[in-house]
Amino acid sequence: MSIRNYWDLVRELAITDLKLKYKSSVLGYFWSLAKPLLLFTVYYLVFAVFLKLGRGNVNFPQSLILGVVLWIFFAEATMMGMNSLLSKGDLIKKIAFPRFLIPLASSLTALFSLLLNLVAVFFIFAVGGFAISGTIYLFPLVLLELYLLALGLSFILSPLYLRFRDFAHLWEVGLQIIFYLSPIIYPVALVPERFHSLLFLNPIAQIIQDARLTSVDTGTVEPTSRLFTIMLTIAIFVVGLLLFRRSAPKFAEWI
Amino acid sequence: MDIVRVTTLTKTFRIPTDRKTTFKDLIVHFTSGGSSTLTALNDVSFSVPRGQFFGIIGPNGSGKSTLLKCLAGILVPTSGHVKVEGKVSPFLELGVGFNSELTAVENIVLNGTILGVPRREILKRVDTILHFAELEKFAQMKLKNFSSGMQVRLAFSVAIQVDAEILLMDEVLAVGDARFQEKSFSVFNEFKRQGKTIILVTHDLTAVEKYADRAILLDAGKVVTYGEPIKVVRTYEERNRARNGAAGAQKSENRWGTREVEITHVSLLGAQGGSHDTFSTGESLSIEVSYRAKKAVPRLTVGIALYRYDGYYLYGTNTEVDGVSPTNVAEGEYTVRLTYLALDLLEGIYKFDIALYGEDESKVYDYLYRQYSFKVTNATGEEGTLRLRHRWEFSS
Repeated sequence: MSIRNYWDLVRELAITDLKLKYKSSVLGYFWSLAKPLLLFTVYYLVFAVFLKLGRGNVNFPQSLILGVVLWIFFAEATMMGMNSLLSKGDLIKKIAFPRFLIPLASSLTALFSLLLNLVAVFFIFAVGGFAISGTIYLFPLVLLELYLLALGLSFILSPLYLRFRDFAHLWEVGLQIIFYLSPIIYPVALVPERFHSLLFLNPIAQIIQDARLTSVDTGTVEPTSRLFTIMLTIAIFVVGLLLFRRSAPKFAEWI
Repeated sequence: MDIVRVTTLTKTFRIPTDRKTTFKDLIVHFTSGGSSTLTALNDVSFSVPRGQFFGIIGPNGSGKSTLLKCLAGILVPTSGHVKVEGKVSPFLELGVGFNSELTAVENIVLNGTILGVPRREILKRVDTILHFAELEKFAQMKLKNFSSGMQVRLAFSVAIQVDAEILLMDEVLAVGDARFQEKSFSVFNEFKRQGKTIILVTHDLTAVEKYADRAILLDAGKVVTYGEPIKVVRTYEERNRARNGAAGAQKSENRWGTREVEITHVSLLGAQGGSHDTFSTGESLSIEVSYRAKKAVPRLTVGIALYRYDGYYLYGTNTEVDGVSPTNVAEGEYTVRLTYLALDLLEGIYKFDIALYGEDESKVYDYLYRQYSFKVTNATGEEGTLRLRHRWEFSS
């Protein structure tokens, strides 16, 4: 198979997933937009209005919705990625083609939803007249970092999940932990300064904060471990790809 | 030149007596070693020359599909080698990846892409595919509304778009109506003409006899026999018969009668008297039947009926019709030989029934139903089933 064929196949798998995802629902892909908006509304009500976490931070609503949208992408991409091999089990058992295309296609499906959501989010920013950061041109790089992290984790999680179904539960708990250890529903400013270096060891904390700085500019706290996160992301991606390649010939037997 | 060469291929699976798919299983049973090994293929060696139609037969669980998966590269051999010199079709079954929520056209594009056909190519060929599948009118219908026959036709029509030198097929012919099966085989013949190699796993022994150039018989992961399809099929049938016989089935579907007079041996002889199973059109063919009379019978009729591969009754005669039935047959061993002076049959597989009767056809001593077959080859270019002796005369 040539690169061209790979691309054809990835595209077809991703498009089919999207088609099927929205085909039998009346509102179609607006659901993928509705979900972050609903979550945002609830979080805003609880954390900004009731608990007043955003006190003194004018950009809190923008920060919050951006964080929610990026988080939903990360959670969906890794969950779908983990499940991707098992859900395409029939293909794996009966057709020979490069297996890495499956988690790749699944990650692209999630990426597509993210891009649609971001278009909507920036549209809201524009309508609301919110200030956009001067370093917006760096924002795509931050997205790329997040995407590679999610894809790398999918390469690691999907074969493990074939082998041990426990990973469904483990990763669910893992996602919850990462969610609360990331400054999504609370501003970094609320975290005591001495914990910052620890907080930013979490790549999601780093990436979300970087995404804010390069777009809506909450301007308060600079992440402390940018280089570390970039290296960690690359390491996870490379190790994931290698592990995946090593175990791929056995997939047909594991299903 | 061999396009596929398999040497001492062995494939074992760990069969979890309790499958460890959760940590708990792994931890709890870690020391108890709750898995056993299943040898699906055991030291299998064979080769397939380029451009041949190769049949793989054998009982269920004999390792046929595992072998095909190793050829396709879906499974990795435990030991031994699979050497393939050319592009192999990546699939073994039809319609894998079909989605019932998508339309026929969407499924064509999806399935074709999965099978490795470039998207641009598949888009160009959508109409051809629908036409071949005879589903033009259903292009925009969702697959879930298709009958299983329609789905198979669609799947087959997409599958033959794959550009491969070696086609692997697992039981593809067990489906579809007779007419579509014929159509499928004409595609295979066209592939063969183009020099493609076809490797087919099937239970359809007739198809193997009729179309295959070579065959292999697997049982319990081992090669039982390998070579001429007609011989391989016969070995398979004999093994089945032996197995059924061992189960004490006197009343087998393929043989019945009182056995007061019993057929003990059957052989096919050519003009030179040697034992054969392949003949050319026009040659003479003798069927020699040895039988044993366990008691004296007043009259014995021997009948032989000839069928085409598909069961079409071609010709039958018996000693009564021809007025040569022996009477007052004493206990003992005998041989009767029927010779067709000129075998005016064209290329194909033919089968025959042998029957021993008493005074009338209701008293059957021994009846062998379609248990023997032979192959006729012919290179003259005549078509059909029979050769009619003929001549042309031009006049003006």
